[in-house]
Amino acid sequence: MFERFTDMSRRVIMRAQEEAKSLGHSFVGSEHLLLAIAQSPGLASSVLAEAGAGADRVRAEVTSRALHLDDDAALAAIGIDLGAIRASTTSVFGEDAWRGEPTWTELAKQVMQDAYEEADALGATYNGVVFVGTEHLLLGVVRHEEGVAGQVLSALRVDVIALRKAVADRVNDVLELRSVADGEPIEQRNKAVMQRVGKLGPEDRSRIDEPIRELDRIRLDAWGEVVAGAGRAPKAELVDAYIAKLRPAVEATERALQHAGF
Amino acid sequence: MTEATELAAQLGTKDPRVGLQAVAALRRLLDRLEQLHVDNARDSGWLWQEIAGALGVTKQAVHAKHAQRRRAQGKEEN
Repeated sequence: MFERFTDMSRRVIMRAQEEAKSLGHSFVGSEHLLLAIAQSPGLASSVLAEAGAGADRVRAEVTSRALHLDDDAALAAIGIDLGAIRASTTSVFGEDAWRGEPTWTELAKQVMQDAYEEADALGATYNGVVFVGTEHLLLGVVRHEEGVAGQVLSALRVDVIALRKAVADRVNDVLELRSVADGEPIEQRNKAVMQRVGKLGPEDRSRIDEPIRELDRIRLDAWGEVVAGAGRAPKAELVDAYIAKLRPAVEATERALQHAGF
Repeated sequence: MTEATELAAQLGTKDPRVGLQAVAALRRLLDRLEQLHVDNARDSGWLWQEIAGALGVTKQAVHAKHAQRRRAQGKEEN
């Protein structure tokens, strides 16, 4: 399923796992997804912050809502000794058998399925393939008022219907900005550079790996700022700032390509 | 006993929060054990249909649940 997720969404998924771990929770639920979304730069977190659900407030709610009962204790209450199961399992399969990521709750798995549906419904496609962005994950989260994330949002008095609309509006703003940026000459040069790079073999490619990675990073960051500012700052201003950051990185990569003789 | 275990014992299973959380925890435990034992069976050369038979589920169900995960984890050839 994750192959349809954008890089940013994958980072959110990993971050949700880390959040669960650092809170000492043995599972990853919708609340950890929400917390991860609220902390990842982009459209979804800025909509959340504007709705009064910034990362700090979400974290405070998630922490106060936790039952402080881990799986060991919950299972002990019904007479299951998780420690014994763990011990017998690791004695046969080794310590690694019990390591690994915390498991996802059924609801969180459903949220990820729903995120895909939301992306499909919003027409988030690239070359005809649906991709799931963090905004779609957020729309998946808010579908479930029964989940812990739903309770958190309700405690923070977030109007879910207004939030859905805000996401849709911002998606439209971003799509417009994208088409403006695509018309800029520097974006064309960037595409041309990437095409040239795409034709290189792995060995040649490794020689210019550094400027390429730098270009990638700068482009993602700069675009992230456009997305965060969409709907709040004038379009021309956002695109100009994006181009100003992209230009030196594209030029550096062009020089690197030339220098390497490609 | 850890602090949390004591808490659980005090609350007892009459408390729906504890009871329901225990069921959810059990489901996660089941997921984890299923992965482990499906992996073990595959690594021991079992066919998907043999695993499905032992689990009492359809071959499609076990394949959908585990084949892609194992490929993603590099445990299975395409």
